[in-house]
Amino acid sequence: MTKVRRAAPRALMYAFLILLLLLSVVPFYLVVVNATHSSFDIVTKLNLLPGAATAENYATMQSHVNIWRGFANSLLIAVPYTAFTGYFGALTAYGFAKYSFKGKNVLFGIVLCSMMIPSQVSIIGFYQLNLKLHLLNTYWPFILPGIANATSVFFLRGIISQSIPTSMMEAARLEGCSEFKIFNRIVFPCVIPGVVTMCIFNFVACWNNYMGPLIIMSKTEMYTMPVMIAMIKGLYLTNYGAMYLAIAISVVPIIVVFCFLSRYIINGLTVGSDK
Amino acid sequence: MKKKLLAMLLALSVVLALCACGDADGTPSGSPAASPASSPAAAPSGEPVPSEPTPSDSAGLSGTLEVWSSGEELGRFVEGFNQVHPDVTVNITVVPNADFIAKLTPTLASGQGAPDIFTGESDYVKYLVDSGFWDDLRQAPYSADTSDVWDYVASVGTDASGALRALSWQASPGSIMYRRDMAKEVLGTDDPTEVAALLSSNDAMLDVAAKLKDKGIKMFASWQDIMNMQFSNRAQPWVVDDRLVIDESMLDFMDMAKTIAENGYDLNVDPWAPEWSAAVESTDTFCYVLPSWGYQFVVKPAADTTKGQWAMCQGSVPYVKGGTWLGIYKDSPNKDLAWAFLEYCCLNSEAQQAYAAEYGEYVSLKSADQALAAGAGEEVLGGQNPFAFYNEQMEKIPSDLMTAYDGTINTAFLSAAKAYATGVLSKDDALQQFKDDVANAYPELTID
Repeated sequence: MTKVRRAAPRALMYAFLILLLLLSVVPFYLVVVNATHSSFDIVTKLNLLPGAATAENYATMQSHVNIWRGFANSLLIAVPYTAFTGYFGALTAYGFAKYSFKGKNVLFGIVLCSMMIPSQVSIIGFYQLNLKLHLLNTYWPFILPGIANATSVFFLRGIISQSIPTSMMEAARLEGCSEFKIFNRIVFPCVIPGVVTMCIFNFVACWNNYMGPLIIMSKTEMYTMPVMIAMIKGLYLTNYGAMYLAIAISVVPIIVVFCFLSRYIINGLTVGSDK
Repeated sequence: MKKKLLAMLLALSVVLALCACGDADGTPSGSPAASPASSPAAAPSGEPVPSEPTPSDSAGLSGTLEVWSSGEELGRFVEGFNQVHPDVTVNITVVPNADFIAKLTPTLASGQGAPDIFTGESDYVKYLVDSGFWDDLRQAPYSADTSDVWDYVASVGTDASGALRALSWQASPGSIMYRRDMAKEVLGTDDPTEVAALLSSNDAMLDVAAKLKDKGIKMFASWQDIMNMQFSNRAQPWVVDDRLVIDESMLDFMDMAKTIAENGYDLNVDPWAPEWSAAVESTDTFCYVLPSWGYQFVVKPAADTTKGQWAMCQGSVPYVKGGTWLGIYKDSPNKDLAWAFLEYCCLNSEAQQAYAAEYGEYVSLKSADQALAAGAGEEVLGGQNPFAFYNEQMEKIPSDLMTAYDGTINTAFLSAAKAYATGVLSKDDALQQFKDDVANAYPELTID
């Protein structure tokens, strides 16, 4: 009897958690399942079980675009970009958080202001800059700006100034550690959870960047995933099956990156406790 | 270790910047597509720089042609074109249509990196025609002869000064695509001429809709499709002398939309919604109001059990909607190649016949469409020949009322009509919202 009484709230809790799980998983599940159905099935009924049209959808998709090339292009841009934002974001943030120098507040103000300009406003300037630098039809215009990512700097500055005691740096200095080494060996490892959080955001943003590659790239084979997915749609056609398949493929890296990196966040949350 | 990495990265970016600056001196860079307009010297070395293009001399053309297209369909011409001009490489970059202008604007603004040919879809083609970025095709060195082109197609490509800026390989006359079986059941006939007679005005169409409703059939897939047809009823285009004109017929259309929505004469969904697409195979939807491409892309591919049950007829007015035009960039260094390709797609009757026969698309040359009208009819249409039907329609369509503002204004009007039809706003409020939207998008227009 008592066992049952104790089990009831637990079952309720689990039911609630399962509901939440379903809410977040079902959309992804539907994307994957719809990727295996023909366009006609997708528009006429709700599909819950996998269909048999995967090969057909794949052929349709590949007849419009070479999706794997787009996948490779996106990875080639997103991975170095994400790494740059993480490392250089932390480096700049460390400078703003822990050093005192003239004009620090003004400089930080400029960094903050740059966050507030919508990218659409600067798109013509962005194009002309890259034209003059002869970087059109290359991947550099999307990788190099990772060195100066204002959002990361802003976010990590807060974390560093809160979680890194100045005494830690002083101790390192007394031991004869160089300033740059202090950052690399001591500060950076301590803020890994924050860096990883930013990296997830930056990876997703970069992976989903649509307008930038569309404007810079004028070769179909250099398009990234989002542009390729838009191309599958065509002018008058609606290839839902092929689009779902392409979307399913494009979601995979985001899930992988999240699963891989979220371990560091969870690990990181407990780091401070054993001080 | 990390220090070294950082140093390397910094060095790399400095080197890159230096390389990039070096290129600015005119040294051919690794990306020939980047600046064909500014530095002809950067063109591939095998290609003679044409100081004076000679398009009439079609033989022996060679080089690379850059084309930006808002759809993949244009690429279907390349194979045939290469049989005539084997040494010309046609690079078609397909840009998603919704963002075509966004992609084009920075390029045209800087005047560098532009393609030799770029397309303009009907929603914004007039904007490009008026912008002056396309060459006049009637002038030398092109001297286009448009006597065989449907007048409408040439008139859309013509700007205010009378210069022909663009041509198309498509024409897209309108139609009502209806179900023969339902027409027989409710109207007593499935003959296109007789059905057209029953749909000859907006009021007649609503009468038929009421009859269909009695039998549990919805007349339209979506009332929004009818808007394109109603544009033909206008006496004036949206904008005259920088002033927004709301034609009386547009107000009538708002009432018609409300009647349809309130009486449930349509599926109550937006065009291209899944239910809308699925209505091809339905048991309770009578017709689509769509132009020629609607048959090629909506009805024909989806018709399976309803094969042979479709037919086309005219509605209350003949109309056109859609199409993609081609123009040659005014500073293109490859004008002779560009003209050869444009002429092949838009003015070569044999090429168009082969294309239309293969893909079933209605094309822009009268001679090609007339040749195809003589052929056998379509299985899906129960033996009706769409080319013969559309040829008649092209003779009847009213003069071109397109403006550079159409894409945006049409969308704004549709949203206002929708708000009124679904009862969200009163008619006056909906019109006010429409005017506000237009004023927002085009502050330079006078709005009463």
